[in-house]
Formats: sequence, structure tokens, C-alpha cells
Amino acid sequence: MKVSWQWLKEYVDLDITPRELARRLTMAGLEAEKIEEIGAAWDRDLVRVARVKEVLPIGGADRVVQVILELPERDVMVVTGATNIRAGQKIALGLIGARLYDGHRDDTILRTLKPRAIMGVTGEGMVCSEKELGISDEHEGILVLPDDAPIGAPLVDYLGDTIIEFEITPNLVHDFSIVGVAREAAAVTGAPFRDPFQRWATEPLDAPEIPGIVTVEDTNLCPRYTALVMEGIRIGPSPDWMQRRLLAVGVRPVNNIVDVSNYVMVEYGQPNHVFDLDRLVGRRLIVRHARPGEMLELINHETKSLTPDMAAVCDEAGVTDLGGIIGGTRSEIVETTKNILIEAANWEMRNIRHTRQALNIRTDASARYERGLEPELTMPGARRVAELITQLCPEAHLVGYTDLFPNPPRPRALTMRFSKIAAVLGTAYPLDAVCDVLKRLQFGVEISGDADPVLTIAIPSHRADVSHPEDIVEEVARIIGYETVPATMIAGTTPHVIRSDRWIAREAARDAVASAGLIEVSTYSFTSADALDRLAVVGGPGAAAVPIVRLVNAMGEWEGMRPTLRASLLATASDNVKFTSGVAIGEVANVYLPRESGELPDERLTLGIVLAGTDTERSLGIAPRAYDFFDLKGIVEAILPALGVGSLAFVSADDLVFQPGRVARVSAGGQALGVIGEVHPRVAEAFGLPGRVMLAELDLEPIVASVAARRGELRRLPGTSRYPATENDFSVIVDESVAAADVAQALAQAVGTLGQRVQLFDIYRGDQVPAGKKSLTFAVTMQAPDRALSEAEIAKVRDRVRQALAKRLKATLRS
Amino acid sequence: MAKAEPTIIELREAALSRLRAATDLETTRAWYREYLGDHGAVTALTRRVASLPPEQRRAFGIAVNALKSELGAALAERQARLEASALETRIETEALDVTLPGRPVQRGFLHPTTRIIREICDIFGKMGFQTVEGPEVEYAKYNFDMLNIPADHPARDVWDTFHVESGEAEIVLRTHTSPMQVRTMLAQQPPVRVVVPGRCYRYEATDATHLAMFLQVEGLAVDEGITLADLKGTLTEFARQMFGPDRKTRFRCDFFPFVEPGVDFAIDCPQCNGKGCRLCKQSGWIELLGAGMVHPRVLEMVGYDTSKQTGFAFGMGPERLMLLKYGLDDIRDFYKNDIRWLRQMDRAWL
Repeated sequence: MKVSWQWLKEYVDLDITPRELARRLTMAGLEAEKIEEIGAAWDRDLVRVARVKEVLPIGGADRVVQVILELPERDVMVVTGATNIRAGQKIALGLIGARLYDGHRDDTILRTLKPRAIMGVTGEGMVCSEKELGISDEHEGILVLPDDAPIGAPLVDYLGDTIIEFEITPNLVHDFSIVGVAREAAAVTGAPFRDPFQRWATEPLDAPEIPGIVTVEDTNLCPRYTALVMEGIRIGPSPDWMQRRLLAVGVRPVNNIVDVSNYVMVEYGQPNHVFDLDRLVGRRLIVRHARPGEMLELINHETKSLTPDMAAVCDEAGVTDLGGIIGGTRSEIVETTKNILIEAANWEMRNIRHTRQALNIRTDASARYERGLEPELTMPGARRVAELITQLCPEAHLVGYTDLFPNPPRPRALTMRFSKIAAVLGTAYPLDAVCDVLKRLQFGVEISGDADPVLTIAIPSHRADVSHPEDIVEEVARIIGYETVPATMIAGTTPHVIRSDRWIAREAARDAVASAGLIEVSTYSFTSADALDRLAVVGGPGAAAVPIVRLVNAMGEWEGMRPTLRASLLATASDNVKFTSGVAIGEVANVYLPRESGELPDERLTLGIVLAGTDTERSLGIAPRAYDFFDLKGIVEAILPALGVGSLAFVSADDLVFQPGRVARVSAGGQALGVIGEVHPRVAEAFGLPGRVMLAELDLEPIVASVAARRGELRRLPGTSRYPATENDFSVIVDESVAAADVAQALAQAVGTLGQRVQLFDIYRGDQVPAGKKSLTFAVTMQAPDRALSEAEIAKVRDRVRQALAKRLKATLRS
Repeated sequence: MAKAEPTIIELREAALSRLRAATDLETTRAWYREYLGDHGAVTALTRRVASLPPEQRRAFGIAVNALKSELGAALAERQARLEASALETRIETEALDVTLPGRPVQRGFLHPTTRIIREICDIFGKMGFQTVEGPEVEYAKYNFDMLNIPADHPARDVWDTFHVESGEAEIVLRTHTSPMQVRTMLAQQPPVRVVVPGRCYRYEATDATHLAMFLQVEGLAVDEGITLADLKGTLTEFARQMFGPDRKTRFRCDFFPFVEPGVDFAIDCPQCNGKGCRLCKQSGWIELLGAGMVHPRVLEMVGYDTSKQTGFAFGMGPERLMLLKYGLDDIRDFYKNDIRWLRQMDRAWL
């Protein structure tokens, strides 16, 4: 909301600068988002009000004239091309040296006015347009000032203003007006507040009641409806001062009646509407629920279809206005309007919000009502409208009123102990300082008791946001100033320990990802049909077949929450391959699997890895190598043990995202963890990835569970031996069909407890072994806990291995 | 006996002369075998002792032993010299061009959001706050209603919300990690002191300062006697740990439905040190986070005794914190995952 400093000063005497007020209000909760100074650049001596004495032609010129201007101390001559200049006008004069904007350029650079000859005549300055003064973009003709402008006065004194734009948070409806900000300004500065409402409370309304002119069918929709009827209206433009103020706060002037209506909404915060009484069929209004499908053409010429939960203001021919939100065209003010009905009503806040959301309309009126405007404001608002109309249309007069307010809310109060303030803030203020603040904010305070006084606080009607003692604590603290609250650390008892196993498991997984040489990425949790379909190009389940957690309000292609990390990581790799020779990335994040309707989805912690391109950049002594399946497997074998997962098993698997024969299911101790493999070339292509791409997706939920289960469990380590270890090679000749892992397992079992490490390091096929067989050579490290192993012992192990392999795998041991 | 003397002398002369002529270690080892080895000349002399007349044995023995130790010492010295010279030669020939490139290591590293979240949780951890987490897809009841943000209240508009298709229960993508306040308090009695990091979502067009998915760290402390002053102390400590000890802080009144009194916490602009610049919109201050004393309605709704318990809560955006701390200008970069940018962040971190 924009507030004019000049307007504000009508209601509060301020001896601080607008900028300082903005700062103090910001500290107190009413945040100034923008400060705009009108006339800040106008030099007091050089930009002044002058009167046009004479307009004289210049010989030989048809477009420019010479103008003699009156200042109190002397006359000044200028040359202008403005066509709207007339003798007798008050204008804004810029003397040589004044800093002004160029009326014919689009920039906003201030330029110093220099003497310049036009048609051989050099003036002493210029008459200014609004654009040259920086007030608006208007540059067709000069700014003509009202007749009351004092000749010779610095223009900044007459026209200058500061516009402060405040953010009105949902609790601040009482600050949603000039008067409201003035009240707040008075409270934070201690300056006196000129409360306009006291006058309306005491001055009697000098007009008869008109029964039946308004009927409210449902007071839940409309708790109060105040209407004033006036006759003798003459539509015309509103005066300059009013137009200027409206423009300053961002309201476009229309005509005197509409302008008054808007002026009062801004000034008092009470939205109101003026009907042309003669255009109302039956010359009366009915407030009721809209009928299903009832149509209304709004003043912005949109037509809306209404529903029965909406508040309709109707005449005898039907709906004419959407209560509390926007008027309709059928009864709006027109050029010929003579008699009017001024509506200032109070509408139920939730219903207003509901209606404006349903119809997608947002107006200054609805913004106020949906924040919970006080019903007490309608009569002062309506009377202020009538008062201003009387000022603007001398023939206008009030002929009657109605005020439907069947259930005025009872005055509210709360009681609290004085000590509550210190208990919440951690600092104590003197009782009289607290009372002073509350009174400045128009709360009533009664004190009883001595040791810890009880405060009985009467809540003013405009403070619907106050209901708890804590609200009072905030009022006190924000006005005295949050800066007076000290900074302390929490004392008191140690909180309960809550250990998040999920956090521990996830962060360990992230560390393991980075330790394995991967770059951790973080991708959006959303998914799209397109992404799921790309994964399915070979025939796997696509968007139509994969159930996802679906968004009601999709954002672009983001239709729901991802059920897999695969697409996110392949897309990320694809974004990167253009810029780098190799991509090795990992993400540890949730995937989202739908559960039964009404239940929260299953958010599963998941590890995804993608390798694409080469393992390194070209460098001296290193040949870059394309990533392959075993790079990925090695990474997985490095990461999972770091998360407490042992005895991994990799079993050949089917998954249509991967190239058949190059994909394995990973499990540990019978617990499935996920899939690793080489992405099917057609899937890779669908993501724009050239070359071979490795992808792993592992469910980390079993790891989260095991972290939780192992909490507090004693760890029994195998221990280390101080005797030397020996490394021996075992070359095993087996049928091609035997899996390497089976040989390794049989070998390890046969070696027994002496074995520390069994690692395949060579595979040989060729002349040295029979056809259909292969030779697998393992490095076997053996060590005893209590002795150095002898040659004889190692020979015994070798015999044991020979027999076991022969028996289990029909394998032979090469010597 | 007179005959034996020259033999030893001759042997000595010849041996020492041959040793001097040896220019490599292999020759010295052959020399050893020739003179001092099991079948060497000196060893042969010692065997002759037994064949000498008894009166000569002693003197001959002493002479042979003297020769043996002299030659042994000479050998050791010669070998040491040859070894030293061999090492010298090796060192001379093995000089490297140390400007050649090191062999590249593929170093992995963490995403900046992981690092900032840990940093934030560590700072609060030292103040006794424990890290807890909650679901990202959440009941509206926890995300809004029990945080004193009722349906059809304009306060809900502050959060543009993603709604999830569901049955009768309204389910949303959480707009903040604050619902974990409610879940934590429902699960346990005070004292409570937690921070809640996690992903949040808002239905908001993405630009340089807005994201539809972002992180939040929420904090909550509830106990008897917790005050606004404690909140101020805790946040001031956090800001100094995060942004340096010289940072000025500002505490001002603000509105959030789940706190009362409400607080906006700012630091003086790290870019202009409070003088006013584009980053701080000339105000000199940068809003870091929203906070306040937990609203009594929130405490009531979880069944806490509001006559005894008070608490504070705060919520901050880690990405925004990084924008400020590292002078970054586009929040979208965090989720673009351009490896080149991530590497730059990794190197800029400390």
C-alpha cells in the first residue's frame, strides 16, 4: 500500500523525516518496501510557482511564444512551445541552473538547465511539464497548477511529497489506510494522532432513516450494511488536490464521485461503492446468496458466473454487484447520475476470500475484507464519502440513510499478568511505559493488584488480530523496540535426545559417494511423463504404467513426484557431457511411491549413480578409458561397505532400461538393494547421451533400518594379526559357464579362516587351457593370528583348495 | 718363519692394490671371495697356523688376524665409497622435471547444499539442537492448520502450494519444514530443541531468486522459561558463526501465523557492509530468516501447557544464505548441476 507523506500529515504531526518514519515503522512490523520522493531534485530557489502575466508572439515563429511570468520579486521571461499556456495560469517555473528531466527523451537522467536561444530569444528558464518535473510521463503541454498555488513558493513546498510503499501482512488490516498508518506513526513516535473517528462517533447524522431501502437476507454474509442516500449530484472531474493524491497512491482518477469513493477507501480503509440510485430497479437493494449460474458483468467488463456461496447485491431485476469485491456495470455511476446510494458494508472475510479465489479477481476492497475488517468502520466511511461529495458538489445533499447491523460484536477485552511480558521477552519494562504504549495504540488498560499486577486490556475494534496475551507482548515490544531485548542463550534442562537414523544414513551415503570419486548432485524431486517415457523406449513401463504421486496443480511438465532417480540423473549427465569428457555423478535423495488414497506416499531414500564418458582427462602417463560396468561395480563395492553393508551379491538381472546381459541385481544378505548396469543404448540415446552409460539405483531404506537396528550394538571386530601375511597365486581352470563369483566363493571357503583376501586378478583363455575352459588366477592373502605360516601349512591349504574345487566345480588347480 | 713374513706382506700389498683398483661393488665382492671368503687366500693362511711349529703359531696367528681385519676394514671403506658414488651417480641421472603434471586423481566432492545444511546443523548442534527430519509430502493439517494457518485465511496465500491428488485428507508438498514442529511436539514432551533441514516446495515461477523446490532449515526450542531474548541470542550466535564475528544483526517485528511475537532477523549487508547497495535494495540490511515465539495456539494444539511452556521457532533458506555468503547471483545454479559450476563452488567453499 502506498502512503503519501502529505496526506499522512493531516492525521499526525511528525517532526522526523519520511525516511526515518519508514525505518521506525519497519522495525515495528509495518515494512516499508519502497520510498519514492516527488520533488527531491527540485531546487527551492530555482523551481518555483509563478503566474503567467502575458503570452507574447515571437516574430516569424508560429510554434513558440514568449511568456512573461510573475514572481514576487521580479518578472521573468521564458520561451515555450507549449500550446496550453494562457495568461493568468499558475505554472511551475524552472530557472537556469535547475535540475530537470528532458521531456523528449525516455531516460530518467536529471540535466541542469542552461541558457539556450530559441528563434533568437534567450529565456531565463522554462515552464515545466509533468515529465520534466519527474511527476509523470506527461509531456504534451505544461503542468497547470491550481489557482491557490502561492506565487513564488518553492514548488517542492507546494507539490513535493514522499510516497512510502508498505507491505501489509495478513494481520495488518488496521494499517491498510492513511489513518491506520497515522495511528501507527503516532504510536512509534509519540506524536499526537488526530483521530477522525471520534468526530463521527459524537456528531449526529442529520438525515432520516429510510426503512426498506436495503434488505440483507443473510447476515452471516454481510454482518453490517450502511447506506447513505444523496441527491443533487453533478458528475464532473474531482479537484486537482484529490486527483494528485490518488495518483500519488496509485489510483487512477475517474470522476468526482468515483474519486471520492476511492479516496475514502485509501484514507479510512473502508471499501465502499456508489450506486446510481435511479438505475437500481425498484430503487432498492437486496443482499442475498447468488443463484446458481447467475451472471454478472463487472465494471471491468468481464462477465462472471456466480455460485450460491457468493454474496450478491441485487436490485429487483437481479444481481448488480459482487458484495465486497467489485461492482457491476448495470448500476455504476454514469455522466448523467443525479441521485446516489453510498454503500459501506462489512462482508464476512472467509467468504470474500473464497469468492475472489473462485472468480480469480483481486481488488483493493477484497484485500481489505479478507483480512477481517472491523464492522464499526462502515458508518464513518460512508459519512466521510458523503462529506467529501458535499464539498465537491455544493448542490448535493443527504436525504436519508439505513444501517443494518443486527448483531454488533461486544467489545473485547483480555486479562493478563504484567509479568507475562517479561516472561516472554526475557526483559522487563516499567509498568507505566507498557501502559503508555498500549494507550498510544488505543487499547484501554486497567491495572489491579500490586505485586504482579493484573492488566485488563480493552481491545479496540480495529484490532481483530489481538486475542492472546502474547499479542499484547508483541505490541509492547515492537513499539518500545525489539532492539531493547537482550541477547541471551537458552538456560534450563537438556532436551531429550532424538537421533535421526535417516539423517545419519543419508549423510554417510553422501560422504561415501564423494569418497568414491563421484560428484554429488542435487536434482529436482519432480518428474514428467516425458522423462518416464524416455526410460521406457525399449519397452519398460512408461508414464502410463508407473504409478506416481501426482500433483493437482502441475507446473509445466512437472506432473508429480519422481518414482525413480534414473531419469533425473541421466538428464543431468546429458546436460554435462557437452562440456566435459567424463561424468561421474551420484545423488542421495528421496523417491516417492504412492500408497493408498489419503495416505502419505512412501518416501524412500535412494542412491543413484551415473558414469558416462571417460574416467579421466588426457594427461601425461594416463590413457583415458571409457567407463564400464566394472567401474560402476567397484564404486558400489566401495560405497556399500562404508554404510555397514557386507557380503554383497550381484546376480544377472532383467531390466529394460539396461542392455541385456550387462545388468545385475544387487543384494546383501538376501535383502534386495537395487540394480546396476550399462544403460541400453536406445535409452541412452533417448536422453541424448552418446557412448556407453553406466547407471546404478539402490534403495537405501534397508540401510536406514540397519543403522537404526544397530544403534547401541557392540561391534566385534575380526582383529588384526602381528604376524607376516603371505600372498599366493591360485590359478583355477574351470568350465566357461562357471561364474567367477562362484569360484571365488569356493576358493575362499576352502582357504578357511587363514584367508584375508581372495581377489581375482587374471583371466586366461587359450593354448595353455583346454577348449571350453578358462583359467582364473586369484591372489590369496593368508595370515594366522598367532604365528607366521610355514611353507608346509601353505602347501596343505593348496591341497585342500585343489580337492574342494575339484569336488564342487570340477575345477583343477594349475601349478 | 723368516719365509712366512714376506708372504703375508706380499699378500697384503697385492690385496690392497687390487682393492684400490676395484671400481664397482661387484668387483669388491669378487675380491672378498678371493681373499677373505671361505676359499680365499687369507683364509688359507689361517689354516696354515696348525701346521706351524708351536713356537711360531702365536706370532703368525696375530699377523694373519691383523691382516684379516685390515683387509676387512679396507673392503668396508672401499664399498662405502663406491656405494656413495653410485648413489651420487643415480641421483645425478634421476633428476625430474618437477613441472610435469601430477597424475590426475578423480576427487569426488559434496554438493553445496549438503555442505551448507551440515554447517547450519553443526552450528545449532553446538547449541544443543538436534537434527530431525520429516516427510516432504505432508498433510495440510500439519503444514497449515496446526501451525495456526486455517483454511480460507489470507495467511495461506503467503505459501503458493502444490497439492497432491489424494482422498479425503488434504495432502500438499510441504511449503516449509515447519510441520515437523508439530510432529516433534506431538511425539514428545518438552524440553524440545531441534533443527529440521529438508526439501520444500512452492508453486512459484522459477527465476534468479525463486525456486519451486528449495531447502529450509527450521528450528524449534520449547521449554519452561524460554524467551525472545534467548531467540535473539541463539540467532545472533548463528549469524556470527556463519557470516563472521563482525556482522551486525537486526531484529524487527514481522508476522508469521505460527509465532507471536514475530521476528524478522537481518544482518548488515555483507556486500556493502550496511552502506546500501543493489543487493540490499539500499536498505543496508539483508533479511536472513523469519522467527518468533511459538504461538500459544500452536502449543495448545499439540497439547502443551501454555501456562508453563514457551518456545521459539525460526526458519531459513540455505540457498539464500549461500547467495549472500558467497556473493552468488542465481539461485537456479544449485539445481542445474553443471559440473563446472559445482567444481567452482567446491573450490570456493573454504
